[in-house]
Amino acid sequence: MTADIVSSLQRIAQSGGIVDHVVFERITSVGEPSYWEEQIRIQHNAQQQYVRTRSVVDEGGVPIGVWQAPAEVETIKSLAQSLGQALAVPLQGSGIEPGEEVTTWRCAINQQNWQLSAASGSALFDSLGNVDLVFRRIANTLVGARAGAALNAELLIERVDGGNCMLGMALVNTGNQDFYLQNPLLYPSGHNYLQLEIGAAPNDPPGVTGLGIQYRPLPVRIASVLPQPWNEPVLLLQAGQRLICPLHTELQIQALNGYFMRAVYSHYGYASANTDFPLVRGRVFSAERHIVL
Amino acid sequence: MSGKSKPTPPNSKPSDSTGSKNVVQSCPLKEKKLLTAEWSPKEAWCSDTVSLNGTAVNFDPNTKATAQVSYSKGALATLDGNGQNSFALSWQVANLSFKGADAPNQYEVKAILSALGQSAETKELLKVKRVPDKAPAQVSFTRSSGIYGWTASFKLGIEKDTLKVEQVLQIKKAWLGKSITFDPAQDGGLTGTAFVKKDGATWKYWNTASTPKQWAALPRAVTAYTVKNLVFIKSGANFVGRDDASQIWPEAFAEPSNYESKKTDWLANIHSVWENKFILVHKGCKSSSANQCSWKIRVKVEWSDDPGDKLVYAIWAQDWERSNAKDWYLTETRVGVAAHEDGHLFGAYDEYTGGAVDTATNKIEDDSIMGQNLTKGFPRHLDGVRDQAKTLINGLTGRNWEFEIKDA
Repeated sequence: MTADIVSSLQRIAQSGGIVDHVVFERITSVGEPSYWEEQIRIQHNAQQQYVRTRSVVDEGGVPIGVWQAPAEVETIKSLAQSLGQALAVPLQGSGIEPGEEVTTWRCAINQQNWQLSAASGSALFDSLGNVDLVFRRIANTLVGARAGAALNAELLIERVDGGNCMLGMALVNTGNQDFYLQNPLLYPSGHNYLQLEIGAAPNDPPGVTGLGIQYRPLPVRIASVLPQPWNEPVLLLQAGQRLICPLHTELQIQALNGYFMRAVYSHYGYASANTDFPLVRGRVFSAERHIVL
Repeated sequence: MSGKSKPTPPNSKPSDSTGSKNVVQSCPLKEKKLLTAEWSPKEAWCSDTVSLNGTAVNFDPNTKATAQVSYSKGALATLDGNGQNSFALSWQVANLSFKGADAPNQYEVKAILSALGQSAETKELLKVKRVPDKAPAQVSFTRSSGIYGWTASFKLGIEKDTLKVEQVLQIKKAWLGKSITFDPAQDGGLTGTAFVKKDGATWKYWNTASTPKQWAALPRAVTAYTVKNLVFIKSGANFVGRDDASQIWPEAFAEPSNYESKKTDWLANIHSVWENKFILVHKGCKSSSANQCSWKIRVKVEWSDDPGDKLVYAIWAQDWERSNAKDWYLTETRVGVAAHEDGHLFGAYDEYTGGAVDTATNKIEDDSIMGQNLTKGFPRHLDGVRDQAKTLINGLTGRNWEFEIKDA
């Protein structure tokens, strides 16, 4: 079976044009439950797509969402070439524990199907490193082009009288496509929230990899009567739209000196009804702001 | 008795065959009836079917017999059946309680068989045995679900009415580092892999091309790369890769300050979910009170520095990380993760979409320790324990009993 798929991959990599039905897919998930998922998919004569529910390193300012654009033939040929080379030697799998970070690569060429899963950090994962680079380029290209539904969070800081500042947050669609997202304020639970977080700057001695910024949520005031559209379970965010969240907190400016701050949106639920637009789910962090007075 | 002629009554006279009127009328026939009773077999387990066998002399056909079954604590059953020369009254042993710390190894059960005004007591008592104690011994079994596979391992034993589930988790301290692979086309010709870490709000890579080697800003945002997690363990002064000893982190990691407190919290969480919450029930028991043939499931989990039933890593990380069955992160804020991961080590499947679910049932349950919300344990989570207990108990009894786990 592997020999058959390798033969097909080599044929596609070397052909002038592609007449086959070809799909490549790469899915990564980690955690129990798997709060972090990433999917990169490309289908010949169709779309290339990238889905991210959470930045793998919880990086601030990195959107989550669904990006897509027409598939490029050269990318498919590049994937066929790199995967064909990787599969030319026998690959040894390894056991994967529940919740362990795992990447699954899939390939379908006409009636042939191939699939392989590897734990992150395993030798098997490394053996598909060149394949991974091509997939990563697809994701980066799509995100860079803002080609899709991209949710970002934004921290709002405004000085007010008396040496205080008002902190708030907004949700921004940085993509070019409208999308829906769940309203965390109507689904209060451990995983669904809008938060403003503060963390002390790390103070690590030189030559030591120390703890990063340890954020904790700030108590916030949520509007007693939720304004439109926050009284709806699902929010529509149009391309380029910036939606102010109905919450805030007020702090003394001096109390923020030296701290990092960020805003967080989190909701992993699926929509209960079909929608015309994509549903963006997951957790997104605003860019981290280091407050230095 | 069959085939033998009736005995002649001792006080009878020969009948007058001449038709004389002086014939003395004989008394009505008085036959002495004899009855005995015994158990077969003489030993049994609760739920075994035993027979109270009686032998009878001079009984009419289809005579009804009853039997009162009792033991030192009172009556157990009333049996009945019909017979003439013999009786066989069956009884499925039940209602003998082996609960409590002072439960005996066996009970002695007697029966009194009665019929036609006669009665007989079993001279030899039926011995109903308690499942014997067995010191906890190692059991392990594999689980698989799609791409996932793991081994559950613990010790299992029996002491009176308690099923003992004991698990020693060897715990090792470890540290998480990360690496990325450069894309030469995107990273100005940089090739190969590099360690990365977050310094404040900035991601840096370990630049081995510079002199001296040092941390340098990444050419692109860290999210433009595939970021790999690498687990390190301390070896002398170095931190070397757990899965690839050729990997050496370029500097020291901070010592985790919450290692001991997390261990304490994790154990407390494990016991709060699994300990003394369930019972193992023998499904074939016919006792009138519920769960008569059952064992409390006592779960005892301990940490150890030495090899145990399973090995887990308590991993320090710079940021919140996602735990799995093998790697438990010290930055994990959801304490329920410990009971969840240990649930796997007792054989439980995931119950959230995308997890290592039971492919026989595809059970998804948010409000569950194995589900999305990491809440409470359910009897089904200990199906693996049940199966191992079945093997253990049936091995001790020589029976083929079926069991189920219920809430305590």
